[in-house]
Amino acid sequence: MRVIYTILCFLVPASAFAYTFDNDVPAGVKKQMLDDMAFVTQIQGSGSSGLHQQIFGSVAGANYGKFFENRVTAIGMDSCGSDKAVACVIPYYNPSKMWLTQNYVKFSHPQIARMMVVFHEARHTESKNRNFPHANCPVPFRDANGKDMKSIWTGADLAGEPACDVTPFGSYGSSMIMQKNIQKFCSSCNEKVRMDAGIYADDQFKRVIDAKAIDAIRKDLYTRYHRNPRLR
Amino acid sequence: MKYLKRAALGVAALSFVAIMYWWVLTRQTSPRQLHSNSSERIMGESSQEHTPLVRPSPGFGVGIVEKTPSQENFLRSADRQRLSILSEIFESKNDNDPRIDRELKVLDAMAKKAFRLKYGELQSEKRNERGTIVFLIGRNLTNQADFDFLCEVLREPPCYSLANCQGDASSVSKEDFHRESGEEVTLAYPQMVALNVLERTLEEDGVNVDRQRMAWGALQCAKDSRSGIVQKKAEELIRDFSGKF
Repeated sequence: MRVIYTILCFLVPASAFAYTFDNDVPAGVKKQMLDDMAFVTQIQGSGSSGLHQQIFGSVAGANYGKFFENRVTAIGMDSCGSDKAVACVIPYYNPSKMWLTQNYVKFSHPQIARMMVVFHEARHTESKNRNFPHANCPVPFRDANGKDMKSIWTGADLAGEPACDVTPFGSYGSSMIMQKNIQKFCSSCNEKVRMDAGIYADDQFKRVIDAKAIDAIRKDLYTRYHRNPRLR
Repeated sequence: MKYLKRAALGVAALSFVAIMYWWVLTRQTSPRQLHSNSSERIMGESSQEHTPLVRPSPGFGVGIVEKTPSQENFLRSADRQRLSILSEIFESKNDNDPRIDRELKVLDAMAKKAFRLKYGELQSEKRNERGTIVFLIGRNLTNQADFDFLCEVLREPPCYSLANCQGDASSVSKEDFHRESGEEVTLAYPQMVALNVLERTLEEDGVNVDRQRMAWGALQCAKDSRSGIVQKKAEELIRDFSGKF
């Protein structure tokens, strides 16, 4: 019996990740996703912020891996309803499945941006949290310079559109908290990755619109002495 | 029973060999293995071997590429190796490659010139690749040519789509609005990196005043950008640092 068990241990290759890929996921897309997840799950951190602890635990690849695998059990291919999409979740169809598009490999995003999208979408799988729906952006919706926030594609105002968050724990909030912690605490990331994490985090922060949520994130992640008042 | 045990051990051994063979095969194709000897191959700055510089693609900052004496119109071996490493990193799409902070960390004037030319060869849609070169040069800002390059990057026309920077006729739905946030940064990624680099230079205290003046000058190149995100960031930085100049 012991011998048979030993044989089975050799015959059954250990699966690196718990989620599966549909057969129609092209090899290139699968490889890129696995490579990107390998990068994220090997992250080492020298600290973490309070909000990060609440969402992910410490800045550590194992925690990011667990976060993702607790939410996503399968990965498939879909257009996600748009030729601009990189990834999506369709909760009413399958709440724990993530869909990738060809843009995942076609579009020239920095690696950290691809992961930001993936972790943003992973948050939308949480049925117990109503899939963390986006809130309607405020009316008016203005940037730090007082100008209306507009769609980069249509030029339409984003005011009133469901493209914002009112909690630090939503998809925008949680992915920006992850990115900002990577910028500040990742000890296994090179300078480019840390810079990218900061650039994308600061931009995502603009989509968090609730005053208490903004204040909580500011206190958690930005210095009191930052010259930008929103980041103070 | 004895024969059964022996057969079982034999099968186990064969399986182990098969798995090891598969593991070695996949490791050999892993992009992370490609750089095993690159650090030894990067030699000093002078080399007997040169190859002709590739001409930059039309429309890109040709004015920035200085005319050089004929003996300098060739890539040095070390620069060819750096460009080769860069290409490997681009191919692998592994931004966290440690060579970015090692072999590609320090670039002298000739290396930066080679990288600027490489930038010009890249298609506009290669946002991450272009931004990476801006980052690498941005870590080694020493003279006006470096800041002129950043200015040139900041003055580039906006990229309207990651599929085609000229723009495409595809439709956009309201569903796309929530994806814009990250994509807007990527569309302007080379410019956002340039602004990030200038911001860090301007934040330095008590160091090279000339460098900061050159950074301030380069920053002005972004204020009339037709990219909304670039213009907004430039306005913010100009407002924040205007007291210094």
